[in-house]
Amino acid sequence: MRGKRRRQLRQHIMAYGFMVPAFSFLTIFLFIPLIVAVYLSFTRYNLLTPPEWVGLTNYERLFADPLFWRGLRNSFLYLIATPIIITLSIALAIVVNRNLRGVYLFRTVYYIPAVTSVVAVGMIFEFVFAEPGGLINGVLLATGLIQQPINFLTHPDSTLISVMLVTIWRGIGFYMIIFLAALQSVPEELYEAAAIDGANRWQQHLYITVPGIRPSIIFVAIISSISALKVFEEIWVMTDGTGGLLDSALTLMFYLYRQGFVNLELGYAAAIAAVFSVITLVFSILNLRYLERNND
Amino acid sequence: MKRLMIVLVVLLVTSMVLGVVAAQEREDRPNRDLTGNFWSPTAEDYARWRVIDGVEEGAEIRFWPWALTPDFEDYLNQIIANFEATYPGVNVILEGQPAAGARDNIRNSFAAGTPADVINMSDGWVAEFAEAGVLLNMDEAIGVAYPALREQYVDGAWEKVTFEGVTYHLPWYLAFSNVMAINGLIYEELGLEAIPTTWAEAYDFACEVREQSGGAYYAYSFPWGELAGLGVLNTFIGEGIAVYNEDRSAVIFNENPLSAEILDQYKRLLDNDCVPRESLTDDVREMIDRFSEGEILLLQTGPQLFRLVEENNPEVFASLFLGQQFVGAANIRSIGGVQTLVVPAGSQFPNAALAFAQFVTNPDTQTAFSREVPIYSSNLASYEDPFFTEGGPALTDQLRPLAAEYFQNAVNTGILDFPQLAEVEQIVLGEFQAALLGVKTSQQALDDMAARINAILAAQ
Repeated sequence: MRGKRRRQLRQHIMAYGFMVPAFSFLTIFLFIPLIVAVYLSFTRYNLLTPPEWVGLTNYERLFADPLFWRGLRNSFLYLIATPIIITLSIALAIVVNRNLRGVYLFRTVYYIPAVTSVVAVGMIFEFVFAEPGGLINGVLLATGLIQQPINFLTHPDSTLISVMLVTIWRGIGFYMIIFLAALQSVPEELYEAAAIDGANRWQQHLYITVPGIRPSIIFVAIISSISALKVFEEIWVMTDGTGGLLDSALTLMFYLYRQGFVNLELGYAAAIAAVFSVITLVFSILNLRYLERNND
Repeated sequence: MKRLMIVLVVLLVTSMVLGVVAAQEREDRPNRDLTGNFWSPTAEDYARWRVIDGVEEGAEIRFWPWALTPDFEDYLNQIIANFEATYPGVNVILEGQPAAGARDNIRNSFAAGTPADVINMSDGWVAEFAEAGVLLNMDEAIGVAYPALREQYVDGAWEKVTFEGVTYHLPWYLAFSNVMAINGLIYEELGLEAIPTTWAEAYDFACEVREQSGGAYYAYSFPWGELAGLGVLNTFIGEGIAVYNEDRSAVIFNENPLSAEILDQYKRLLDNDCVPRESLTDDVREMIDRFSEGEILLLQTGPQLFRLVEENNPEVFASLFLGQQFVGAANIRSIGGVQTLVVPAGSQFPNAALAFAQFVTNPDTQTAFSREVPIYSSNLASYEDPFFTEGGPALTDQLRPLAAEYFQNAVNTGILDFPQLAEVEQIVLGEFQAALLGVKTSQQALDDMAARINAILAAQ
């Protein structure tokens, strides 16, 4: 009896021992910064002088701040990119899941945007969106399809959409790889049986492929929507750090950065971060529940 | 054996000396004068350079220049060697900061309580540190303690940024903002005979160039994406519009109808495609790139940036000639960008740090820097050097004889003195864009701009 207890104790010690490095790492780099950030959200802090306790002032200011609401609205608008990315990357995964000659080359090429530095992406799309001689405008003007250049980044109504296109372009290849791995676990016999039953390609994908890769779709939906809510790099690069004309591409993360690291209002930025974290958490839980319910 | 050792030592020393000389003779620095007192100082030079009292014996100070290493590392190392010989017992550690992220690095170093003892800051960065009370008051440290030294500095640069009327920086190198580069290829192709000199003429000129070239060229473009924030206030001052009221407690530029007229002119240029629409979002670098592509006639920026045109398009660079930048009705030449040196108030060795900052900005050290790259000294005594009184063959050499008079008369427009400067910039930029995009009338945008800035000023 005593020997069994001792063995159990040893197992517990060993288990906790294995957890200590990761827990220490998370404590130093996640839990403590999280607690400090929540504390800072109740202070006025400019990085250069000690924080000053101001209670709920930052939160009161935040809910009355029109730019906070614009940032929140744009962050949620950015979620439109998620279903587009999922749909396109599934389609692409299906295409490159065939045994065609040179398919590995295509898989690699489609994945390149995912590993390209965001600065390089910015330079590429600066040329793609340029007016009037950029890639898109130049071709459309030369072929007579448009008479006036499209104002991709020089009109407030199109800036956010243009930046979203960059995110989609960068994301497709990455998510394609996830779906490709999932597709290869769908049994080939199911397609053969469906074909014998008279299902066409579209029906096969709708009733076999999509249910077969549903766990991956849930995973991608969650991580891509969190990424969409947190988008910052593309906006920074494509708008030269301004947030676009009339703050048209200002998302909550970008606003947080501006308040914290441009205006040096670290306390206010921490309040934005706290509210944003709660929103992301609630959104992720709802997203997960909804997708899981559909899965059942 | 002994003789062999002597030969080896002599060879080693000779090769080191030759190595140092070879390293200092750089083809890309044709104006460098290795026989001058900066590169070959004498005991008299050291005695003349020693001007600050009470420098702490045994002090070890850290120096943070930004965007200067590795390009100018040999120059910076020579400054340090000269300084350490001038103030024996003081040791300077060079810690060059890259251009990207330099401002954040400086902020973080203050937050961590470990700022360097002498820090190079762009003029637009100083205000937030001055406002937080973490910098040495230079009006006291130099202005009161060493009035003769203070007199040497260009006034407009000394006062470029103040907080509550006090200067917290020593001005270092300056940009000459009085010139523009003209693309000779376009100038000849269009058969132009003159370029306008005032903004009043320049607005119509932009549309004339567009029309005359059949839509092939623009006269000029703007970096409104980056500079509109405060640049538009500079434009108002250039046209003789008062930005502040008398006691500087509020801004009043919106009360002058001329302000709205200027914004209307900009909107007209934009709506009629007389300037590229991407002026709305371009920064200075993008404006230079656009000019380098050979589709823009005029480039209004500091001559130190002309090298970017040379890198981008040697053909365009070879055709360049210089003209004077457009002026407004007030005919004001405003002081351009000022690089500064600051000393943290909490420095362990304030006198050594002050001595080093002064040393970097003394006439000889700054003249030597101007010989490295076409930037200009903030120390008026530099301009007595023949290097500045005589021109040279290169494009930017023509400006040197004009510099002394220009910097003595250049006006500080005082637009960097706002509290919460970054927020003021965002307000001005946002309202400026609202006017240009037709979201608001120019007058409404200016009224909103003034009201929002005044709310910040009132809260101080």
